[in-house]
Amino acid sequence: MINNSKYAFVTGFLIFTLFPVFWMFKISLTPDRLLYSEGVVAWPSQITFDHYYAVIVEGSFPDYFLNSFIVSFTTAALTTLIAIAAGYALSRFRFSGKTFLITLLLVTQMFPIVMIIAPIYNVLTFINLVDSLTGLILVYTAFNLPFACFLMQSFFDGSPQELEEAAMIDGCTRLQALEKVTLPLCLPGIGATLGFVFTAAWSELLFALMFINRQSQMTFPAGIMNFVTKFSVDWGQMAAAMILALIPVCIFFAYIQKFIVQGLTAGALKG
Amino acid sequence: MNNPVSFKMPSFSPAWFYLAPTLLFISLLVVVPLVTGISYAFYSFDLLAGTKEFAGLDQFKKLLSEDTVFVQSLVNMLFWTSASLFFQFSLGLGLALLLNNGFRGIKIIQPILFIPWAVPSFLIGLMWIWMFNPVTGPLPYIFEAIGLMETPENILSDPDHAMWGPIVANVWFGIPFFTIMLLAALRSIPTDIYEAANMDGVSDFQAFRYVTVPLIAPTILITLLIRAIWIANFAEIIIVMTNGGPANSTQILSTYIYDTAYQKMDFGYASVISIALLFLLMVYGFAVGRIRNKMPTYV
Amino acid sequence: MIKGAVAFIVMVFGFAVWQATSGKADDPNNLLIVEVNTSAERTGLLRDQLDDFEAANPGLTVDVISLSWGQAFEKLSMMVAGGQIPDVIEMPDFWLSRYADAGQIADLGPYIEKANFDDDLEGDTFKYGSINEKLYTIPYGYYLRALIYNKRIFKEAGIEKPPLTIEEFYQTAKTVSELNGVSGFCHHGGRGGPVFYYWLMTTMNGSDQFFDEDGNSTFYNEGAIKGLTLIRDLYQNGYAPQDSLNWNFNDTVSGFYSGTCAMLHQTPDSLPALRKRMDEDDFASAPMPLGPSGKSFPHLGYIGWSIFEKSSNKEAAWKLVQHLLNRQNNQTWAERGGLVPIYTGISQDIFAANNASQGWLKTTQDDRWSYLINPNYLPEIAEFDSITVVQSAQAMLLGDKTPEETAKMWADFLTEAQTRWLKKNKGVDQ
Repeated sequence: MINNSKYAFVTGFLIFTLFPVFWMFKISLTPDRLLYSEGVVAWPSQITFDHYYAVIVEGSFPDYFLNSFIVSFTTAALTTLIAIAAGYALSRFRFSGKTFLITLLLVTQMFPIVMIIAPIYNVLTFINLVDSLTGLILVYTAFNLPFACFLMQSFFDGSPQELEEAAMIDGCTRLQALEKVTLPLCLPGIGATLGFVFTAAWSELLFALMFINRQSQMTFPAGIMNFVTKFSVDWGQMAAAMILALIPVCIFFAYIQKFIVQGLTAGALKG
Repeated sequence: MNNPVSFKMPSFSPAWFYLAPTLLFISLLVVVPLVTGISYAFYSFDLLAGTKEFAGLDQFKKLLSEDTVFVQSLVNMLFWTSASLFFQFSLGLGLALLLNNGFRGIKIIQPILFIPWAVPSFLIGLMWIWMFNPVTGPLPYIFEAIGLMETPENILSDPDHAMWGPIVANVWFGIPFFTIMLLAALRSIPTDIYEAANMDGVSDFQAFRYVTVPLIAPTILITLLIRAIWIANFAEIIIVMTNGGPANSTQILSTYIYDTAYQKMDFGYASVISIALLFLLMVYGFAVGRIRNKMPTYV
Repeated sequence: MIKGAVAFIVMVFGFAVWQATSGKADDPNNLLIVEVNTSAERTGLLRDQLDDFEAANPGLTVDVISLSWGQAFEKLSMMVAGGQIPDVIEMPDFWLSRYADAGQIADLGPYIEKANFDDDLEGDTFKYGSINEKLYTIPYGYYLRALIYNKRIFKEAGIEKPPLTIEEFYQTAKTVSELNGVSGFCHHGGRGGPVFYYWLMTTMNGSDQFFDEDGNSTFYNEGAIKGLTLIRDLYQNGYAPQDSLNWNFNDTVSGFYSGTCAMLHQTPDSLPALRKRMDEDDFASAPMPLGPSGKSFPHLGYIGWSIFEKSSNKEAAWKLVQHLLNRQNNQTWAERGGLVPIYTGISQDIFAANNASQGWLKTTQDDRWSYLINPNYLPEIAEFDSITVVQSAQAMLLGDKTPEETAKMWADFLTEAQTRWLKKNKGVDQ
């Protein structure tokens, strides 16, 4: 009984999640002429792989994907590492200025990005990193850091401090105790942070659009904007590009979930 | 927080060593631009010409005395934020609990359920426009079939219900965020706690209420806090789907700020509205912070 | 593990510093041109023409930045504010006053004095691109409005010819809407659509002027209010799709080729998108319907090439603009982009050859039609066009505001802006 309702819920979620994606998949296979003429149908009377061919072979999408991957991966790694250090400090130390610091980190999230995008552009011009993937990575890192710090803090808060202290009494330095005892316990949190930052960078558009000029440096969301012109949206190719872009993310998540599951085992070992 | 010892000894805490890289990034790429952005509010500012004239508090007076779109956008924003947050959180928590229990096929289904979080937000908007359009999408016919609509129409052009379009899109997008964060928190709870509770003869619901919830409470609070801030500031889906229309019915503060800054090119006034938004969010953040401080920490 | 992490962070920083210090020199012989009305095909055409230019002018090179239309204005203003200034820019009419007021673009007057253009250059070309007697942009083509209609649907509804008058336009929309699942008019209720109201209001007024001699807006005249009432009735009676209230450019075009609606108020550059998805025989075009005065004022927009005041090599930039505007390049540009070219001789060739373009041919040749130009010199025009009119017209179509209230509001906005402008530029004090 309980089991059945559980599966019913999961199926419901799956439908809600996948239905729009399925619809885009359908569009990606529909020839342009049939796109509007067939009305609302679940599957076109004729399918074509032209859109995929155009995206993969004719366009610059392999480059865009590579750029996106470099940016997302570096941002995720950099942000998570820095946030582990900061989250640890916020969780384990008491120091003056802490409340101020937390407030500051929060406030950075509260001001609309459209208002600060011009000043950031000026900073990037100043350090000569406009129109470069490196500049984009630095900006993404800065904007993902506040939340990543809070997240790591809350995971450190949730992990028992006694074990770490015991290790330190046994002669470990603080860093050794962190590395050997606490970090393994926080693997799920680290996995979640990595996954979160990776996808945030993977799907970010506004900064990518504003800070990158050359076609060769574009990330995939900015590249996809090429399909939206003043008069028409190239739905077929856009849908194909979107479906392709989901594949690496699924793989990344499939990998990350091992991380998240490990938490369970780590917790069990402790007892 | 107010540890008297740390006040008496303002020596250099080792915490700053761990915080140094964060501070470097935040100050250079966020705080400096942020202060610049806030300073616009006191100027009549022309981005293109690069000129600015000091305007003092004039623009704040205008906001408080004569701006009706501001009031409408504020009301819309409260609705947009609370409805999106409510559905994202409750569905996300439900899904996290399901996934935490585990079932067959979970390894395949789990990554799929996270897909929406990885779709760029303007694509989400375009995708849902397509779904809501009676010429191309199935939703109007589904709404008609279940009696929500008399004829299959586009909800996005109905000023009384248009906001639900972007909200549905936003909920679709945001569920995985809560799922992944809460799932990670659930997985961090050592299983022996449950075993102990089980031996004491505690029911499942009681275990959830008295063991699970307190242990994941810090994560719940921080995700609720940050997500509300993001949703309030999140304009892209609305800009793509309705552009604030029809007749301002989906105009929220962040879309209004965007229009003011880049259509009217009035960065000064846009900054004033942003400061109002910032103030509201700080009040909210302060309230959540109070709740957080009252909770015991589990150490 | 921790050591590895620290090493990684240091590595990324090191790379950033290395990138930041390896500066790029600013070469005056390398021109930067920014296009804003981007599409893949057009970028290719532009590149071809630039390659010709490079071949003809050894030593000069040209780089292109292609901005996507939706975010072009934001992005360009940021580049300019950040000091990254291009040499040549594609300048839509409604941006002109912003950039001119900010002193960012150069007066091309001195350059055209020395230059030769063919005799059949559209007489008003330089007037259109000027504000206060200074030439800030030279249009490369015109976005003239005409009425595109679906021949197949017209036949089904028993309509034989496109509407000639506004009265007939309304009746045609009504007749077509009696068919199942089709509406008469593809209304453009979102951004970019207000020019339809301007056409309707001025044509009903019988004058192509936005302001009377005293600088008061003509939008509160009786004809203008009648015009607004007509479009409100048309929408409320269901002769336009319900969601056209909030349609954008591409929604109107896709609404038309999907057969959702049968009449489209558009510029000729929408034709390539239509040809791609419809049979050539299924659609045709007619001039915009005539008003009670027997005249009609279809809207004329333009995009041109401008040169930045801070360009490091204005002479070369001017050479480039001239190259892009020469007869041969303008012809390809207009043909491929579906524009009214700036040389009237070419214009007849292009439109006569093409069945779907008859509406434009007639508009350009018959005296009953003359062009309506927005008051692009007003700095507030972008705000008026993209926010004020869009949101308040939606309120009117929904019945929240009467046409009279709406007309009053627009007239007040324009009159105020006009007064301010006259005061500043002509020393008129009212």
